[in-house]
Amino acid sequence: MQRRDFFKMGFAVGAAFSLKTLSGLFPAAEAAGEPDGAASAVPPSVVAVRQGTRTAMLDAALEALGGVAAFVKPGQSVVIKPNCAWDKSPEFAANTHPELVGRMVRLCREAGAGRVVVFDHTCDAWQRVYRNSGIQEAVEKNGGLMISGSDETLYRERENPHGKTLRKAKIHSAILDSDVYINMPVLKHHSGARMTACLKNAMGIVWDRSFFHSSDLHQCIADCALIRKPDLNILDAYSPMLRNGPKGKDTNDLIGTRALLAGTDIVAIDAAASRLLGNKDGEVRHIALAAAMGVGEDDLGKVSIRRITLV
Amino acid sequence: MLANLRRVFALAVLAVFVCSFINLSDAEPGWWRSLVGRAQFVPAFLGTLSGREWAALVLAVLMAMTLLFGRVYCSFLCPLGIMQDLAIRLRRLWTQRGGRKPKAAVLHGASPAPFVRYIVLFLSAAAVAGGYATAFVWLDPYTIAARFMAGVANPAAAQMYDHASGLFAADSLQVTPEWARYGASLLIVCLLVLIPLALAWRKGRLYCNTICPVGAFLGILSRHPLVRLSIRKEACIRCGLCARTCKAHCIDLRTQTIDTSRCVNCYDCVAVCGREGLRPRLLPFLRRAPSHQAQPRESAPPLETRRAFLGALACSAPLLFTACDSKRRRPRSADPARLGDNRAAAAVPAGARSVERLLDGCTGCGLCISACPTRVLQPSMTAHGWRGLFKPYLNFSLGFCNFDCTACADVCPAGALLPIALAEKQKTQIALAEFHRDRCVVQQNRRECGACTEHCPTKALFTVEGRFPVFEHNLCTACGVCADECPRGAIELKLEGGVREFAVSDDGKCIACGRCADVCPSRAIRTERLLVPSLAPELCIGCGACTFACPVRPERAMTLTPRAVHLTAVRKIEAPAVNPVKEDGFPF
Repeated sequence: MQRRDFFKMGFAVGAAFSLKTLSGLFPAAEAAGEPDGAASAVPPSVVAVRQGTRTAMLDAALEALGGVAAFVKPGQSVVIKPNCAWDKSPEFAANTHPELVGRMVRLCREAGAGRVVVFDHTCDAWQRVYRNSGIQEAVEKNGGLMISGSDETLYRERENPHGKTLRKAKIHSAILDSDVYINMPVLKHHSGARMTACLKNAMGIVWDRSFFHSSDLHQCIADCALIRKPDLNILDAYSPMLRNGPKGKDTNDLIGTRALLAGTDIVAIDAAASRLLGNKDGEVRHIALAAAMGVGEDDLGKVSIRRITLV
Repeated sequence: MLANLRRVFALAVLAVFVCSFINLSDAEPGWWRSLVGRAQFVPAFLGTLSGREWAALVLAVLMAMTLLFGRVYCSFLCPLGIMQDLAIRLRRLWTQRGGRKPKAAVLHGASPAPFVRYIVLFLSAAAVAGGYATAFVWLDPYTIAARFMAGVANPAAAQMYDHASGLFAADSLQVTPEWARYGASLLIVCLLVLIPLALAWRKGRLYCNTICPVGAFLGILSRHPLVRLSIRKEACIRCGLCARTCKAHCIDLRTQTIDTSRCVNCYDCVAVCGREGLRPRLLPFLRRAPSHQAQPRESAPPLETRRAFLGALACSAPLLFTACDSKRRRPRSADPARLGDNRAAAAVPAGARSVERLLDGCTGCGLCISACPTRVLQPSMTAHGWRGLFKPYLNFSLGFCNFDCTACADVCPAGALLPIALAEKQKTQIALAEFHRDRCVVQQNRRECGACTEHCPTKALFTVEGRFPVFEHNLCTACGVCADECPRGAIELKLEGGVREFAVSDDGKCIACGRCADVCPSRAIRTERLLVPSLAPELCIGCGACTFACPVRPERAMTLTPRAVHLTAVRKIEAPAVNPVKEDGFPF
């Protein structure tokens, strides 16, 4: 909690505060100086990148946000929560692409992170999901640790005093214990929540998901963001699933958007991503609910967005 | 030499056997997982009955081996036999270490108990002939040992794995031990193993020669093996060492004969004899024939055996005949689907094709249950009735069948589950989902949920936007137009003191068509648009994902009706999705 406040303050004042972040500051300053229009030294809250490879878009987005070092300090522990819920191979885009997760793990390690753990509370049999999604291999190859999310003993109860419906929940201990929480979903249609991106992906940190479904899914998704807000969100929108989500049927369900969104404002990213799927503003109720509760900004006119098109 | 060869081979078989029941990573089952199971007598026998070629081949090889060498199956391949040998070994060590007095050397082993074993054998034969093939699998040594591994070794391994990985890495991949799988009946499972082992500790291979139907059958085949173990009379000094060592108590030194119908070919006697007095010989009875002396025929056992065989046959014959005549036996061609009733008490995996086929061919060894990655496959306690005790069924409240998996069919040693191609499995309807609209969260709470549709792999379940009526009571004139229009009779007019008051709707009946709002002349009904599940039954394969995901309790809004005979579902193919945003630029 304190650390998160510390980050917020760091951004507000203008990150040149801590000596430790020096290495991360310079790329941020350079990015700001580029002829894209973003003149302020404060990194944008959302960076949108299009038309590159997945990893190139990730690198460009992180550079615009001030580098990984702006989020991960040497020695800190990091948890990455990808969408890794379905027993589907990467080409079906039902899970975050393993290339992206692997790259992120490596960048965190290079920034000096002590321990990088990755997990998801899967929907299909977890070991098959970890293996067939390619994520376990990518994580382990890049120096991360893949841990289980499918055992109740790994979760701890946490109060959520500001939540409306979700007043308390059992949260995965990796989320509670890590210094930095990186939310790394894939953009998909969702038959229940209409769309799944950053806010919906954060539902995977909770043990009892049936409570969400049985008592106002949208409100619970919005409430869940209050328990621990991710320090950084990275949304894989390379080939979003336009229908039959969130599991999908075949590759005919996918569209070639070739985009990646990243930033600190979880609501703004989802609001932008919603438009990538052709949704009207306000159509996805949990985005509006989260904005109303002050989790983030859903009026894209008020959000500082940095738009980058790679060639 | 022979005894050591047997030990090495048997230990290797046991190791593969135990490992094939341990599944810590939910990996696709390797070819070796069904290796030991497929080499077993009863699974091969049941496989042959259900027309599997490889099973017939295994059965032929096992029988040929017995005719040639005697009951090598019992010492080299049978897992329960190998476990009994371990118990006997332990007993010997215990006697030696403890300085306890070993058994006195004996000249002859226990007298055979042919009556019991032939009665068991004939009852088993009667069971098979009567279509109750599965009654005798209760005594099958493979199944007894296998079920123990599935119920005990598998969760114990998971527990040990968790403990060991906890010692070396703080947060590693944890697995959940499945102790609850057999529940309280684990007691029966353990008892069935412990009885033969306890008998082995006290009396050697007693189970194999009195109760085991496989032992009894192979015993008949091994009465005159081509290569038989025999005592060299010129070397034997009747010291009794071999008779004391013999696990089957089948050596009679008074006549210097070995009862090969009881001998399990462990070759311990060969190893223990200091004078090379015992060895396997080719056709010893032919060799002996010329020097056939008019010895007094004191060798009663063979005669006694024959008498017992005939006696048991006589006792069991009526049963055998009634069993064969039984009207109960349903012809396999009967198709419940065509007869209009295709409901079963419990669902079975796609490889089974029908519940009847599974119950006929399955021994209940639990190998498929150990291999299942989603834990949906569970041993039946009451689900299949008494015939299906410990046989697999899909428990949809514990899990659902993984769309991209055929593990159970890949490992089945008995052919009860036939190997099935993934594409074939993905359209086999093992059950049919049913949507109970009146229980659904969307209907009850007017809140979107979609849990069932999320998981559906074939998209037989999907959400459509429904228009739920919201009544503005102050605008309502109680004209009744909406109630007349409603296709489900969900709207009724409330009467207060005989006066029509206003329209109310029954949330259980409403199908969210929104027609009431369209026809209301005073605009007293607005609609709320919510995603509500919809089912296309022809696409459903009955995997149970929807039921598993449904959050409604105690009765779920998605239920499944198991298919007695599996059907083929339709596969939905859609045109490629069209991107709503432009190639470049940003829609925000």
